[in-house]
Amino acid sequence: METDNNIEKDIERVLAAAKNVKPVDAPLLFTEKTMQRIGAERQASRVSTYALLKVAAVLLLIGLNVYTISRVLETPLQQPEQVKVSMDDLVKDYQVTDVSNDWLNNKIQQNEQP
Amino acid sequence: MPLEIDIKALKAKSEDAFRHLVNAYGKDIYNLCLSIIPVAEDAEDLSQEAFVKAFNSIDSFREDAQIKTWLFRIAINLCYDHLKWSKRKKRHAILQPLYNREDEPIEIASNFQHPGITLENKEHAKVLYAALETLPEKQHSAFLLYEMQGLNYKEIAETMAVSVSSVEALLFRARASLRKKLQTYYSDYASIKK
Repeated sequence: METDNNIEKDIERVLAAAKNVKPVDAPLLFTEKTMQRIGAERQASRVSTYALLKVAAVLLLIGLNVYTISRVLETPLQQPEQVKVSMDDLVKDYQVTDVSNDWLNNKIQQNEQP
Repeated sequence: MPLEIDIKALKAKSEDAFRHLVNAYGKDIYNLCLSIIPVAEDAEDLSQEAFVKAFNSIDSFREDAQIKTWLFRIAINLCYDHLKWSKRKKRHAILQPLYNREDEPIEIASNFQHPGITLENKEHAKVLYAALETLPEKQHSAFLLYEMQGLNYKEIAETMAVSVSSVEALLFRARASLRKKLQTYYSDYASIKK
């Protein structure tokens, strides 16, 4: 019975201990140390923004290159137009007066005769 | 009485505004961290970390809430993360549960060094802190915010993002659970002495 009473008293003392905790002042230079950490964080976020910008620029360049290459590969090569040259065009171009090739046959015959 | 804090300047990440915030709430946040982790160096580190986190996430602060309760929430979350990390480290606890079990026994910390506790109160405070550590997080937070930090139900509800009636229920359960654990602890202690 006495033990139970002692236990009850101990429990009450322990629960009362919560109320007896005195608030303490923040440690010396608490504000300065905290502001230093905040400053370091600000600096780190600036550095990381710069690094992010660099990564974004590199990614943009790579993207542009990939786009350009894919466009080049997708576009079919243009075949050069086949130029059909008629005999009349040749005549025009070289200003030959006779279109017939009789003169050429005559020449060959002459050569064949002994 | 809430202190005058320029939220716009904070959101613009003004150094002066943050210095004012640290001056205004540094003591409260440090004492809050001490009430969860009664080791002065760890509490200092965590309370500074809370302000750094506040600086990084100030854009997410809703202006209808109190800056004090918002800071308290950040600090509480950081302290619980630290507690979980140190428990896991201590017990190699991949196989241990990450949250407190109802039947977890009270273990008195060897590195207890709360500067706000007088020598004659130290033994009881050690037992209290050890018992508090075995409570589920929400009961623990509600108890220490009410009993140690002196917040009212509304402020606790805002800090913990729960209703006022939930705070009452959490406090009731925390006290009942603490009594039960302390009863077991002192009964075991008495039987060992016999």
